[in-house]
Amino acid sequence: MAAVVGAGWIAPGRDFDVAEHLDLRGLRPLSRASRLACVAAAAALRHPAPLPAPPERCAVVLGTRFASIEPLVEFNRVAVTDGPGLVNPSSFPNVVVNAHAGYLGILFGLKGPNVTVCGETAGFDAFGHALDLLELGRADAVLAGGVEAYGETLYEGLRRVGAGEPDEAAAFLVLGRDGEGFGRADLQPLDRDSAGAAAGALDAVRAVEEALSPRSR
Amino acid sequence: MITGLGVVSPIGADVETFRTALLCGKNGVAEVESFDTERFPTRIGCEVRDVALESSVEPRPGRAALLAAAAGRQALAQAGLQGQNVALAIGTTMGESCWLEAWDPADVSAGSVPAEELVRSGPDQVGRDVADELLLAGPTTVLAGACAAGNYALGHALDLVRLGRAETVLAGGTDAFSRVAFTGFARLGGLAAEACRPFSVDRDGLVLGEGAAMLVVESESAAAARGAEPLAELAGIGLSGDAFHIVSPDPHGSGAARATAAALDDAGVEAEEVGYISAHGTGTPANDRAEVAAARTVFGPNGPPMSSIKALTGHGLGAASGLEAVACVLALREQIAPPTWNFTSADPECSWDVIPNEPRETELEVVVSNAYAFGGANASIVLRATA
Repeated sequence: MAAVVGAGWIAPGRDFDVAEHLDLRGLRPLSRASRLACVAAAAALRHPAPLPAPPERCAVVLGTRFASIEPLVEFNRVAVTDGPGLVNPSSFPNVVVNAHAGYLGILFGLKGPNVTVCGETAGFDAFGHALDLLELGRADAVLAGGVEAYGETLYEGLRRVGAGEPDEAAAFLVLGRDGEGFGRADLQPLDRDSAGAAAGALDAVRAVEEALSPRSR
Repeated sequence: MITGLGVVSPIGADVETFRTALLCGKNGVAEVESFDTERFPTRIGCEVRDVALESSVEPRPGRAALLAAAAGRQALAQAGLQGQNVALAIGTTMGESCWLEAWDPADVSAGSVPAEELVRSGPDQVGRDVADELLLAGPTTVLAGACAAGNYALGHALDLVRLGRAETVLAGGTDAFSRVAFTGFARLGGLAAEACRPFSVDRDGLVLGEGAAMLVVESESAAAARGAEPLAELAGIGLSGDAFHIVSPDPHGSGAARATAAALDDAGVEAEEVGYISAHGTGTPANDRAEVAAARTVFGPNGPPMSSIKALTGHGLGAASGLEAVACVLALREQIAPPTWNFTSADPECSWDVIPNEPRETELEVVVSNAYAFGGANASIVLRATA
């Protein structure tokens, strides 16, 4: 058993531009998927509130199916059309799926296990993994959830294979070990349609930007 | 218990050939044939050549899945298993990026998206295709743990068995030689010009590789019920995050040290019991220094010998820690630690006994294998000899 100690999510619609709400200085290398994940994770962790456990005991488990695809398309496009010497090296990590969970660890200082699972049910798989980490004592708290985000190429591709109107979203729960002093906090998910709530979470992400920027360039 | 091994690597497409290469120093490095390297600063890589990759699945899976399926067949055969009731835990870095790399991006516009290839390019496709190729009926988990993916998969297999969620798991890692990965590492200045020389003062980077390694991990009772011989015990797993930098390791190796310490704790063994460390050992100065710093933290200044087989195999990304796990099982079986080939002279900043250029006969009861990935994700495993 685990206690849910936080929740945050964002399903902003494709016209939502993270850059309009967030000073991207320092966060520029992050993919759209990472940016959405940061917004939802900040809300789930109630950033900048203290972490629910010591940093070394806080894990990240991220589920996704497509987070790396659009960065891969773009990276490959530049490499082939402009030449491999002209690709921006800071865009390479986004091609590797686990970079998204890596950025969450860096942004929020989560130093426990950092896990990425992929698949059509990856969000649920992430919660399952999180529960296992808690049960086996590998972490005392887990930021667990999923993200999908699409650029033009993937959005069109999914429509063509009959996936309807693909939804972008990021959603996280913070799970804590039962009986370890965690209370059962009320769930306070973001209002799906509330740009105000989303902007509030973005404020939180902005607050950690300074910590990231000196190292990410 | 580990009851089956399978390897498709640049230095051998079966366990025996792989084993011989590790001990004789047969190198997998050659000029890249998969694509034109004219516009790159280096031309070498470690590719899997002269191996027919069988498939019985339509549409034909990508190279990462086929490499893993070939390794998986070997492991299942050794363990005496058919696919039924076998779970799959597989790690990969690039997924099936081959599909995307095969397009001409000039055609990539909203009007000409090759949609089927697009949705088949992700890591998840590897899991589906390997399960289909091998007719595995258990649950499939794809762990995108990048350069530590093999250890993530093995760790997940251990947890599945411990928690009683599965009796038998086929676990390991795979990646196909990727132009995108080659480009990325080249732009990060991480590719060696001529050779991979882990821990040598004159090393200048990694050599990109490919391949797959799969292991059968199962409960002692499941192995005993079939009469399968336990080759070694997968005894513990430790995971940690650096929370430091997206591509650079924490130079103090504190996250790496926590992963190793957690794995030892998970296995219930003391640091003094460890007889050999299979290093992540990519051949980059940043890795070597962080890794030796981590070893000093966990084992003290006179810890066990540590070597990197990447001098021969190159960096197989998701396959790497799978190949290294197989090397560890072989080391425990034969009581011979594989050396770090290509070693010239020690870097004074990270001096350690790296078993230079010659296999070492030594008493091995417990070994550790480390893997570190982009995002600062660290995964160590502990393996123990069976009686």
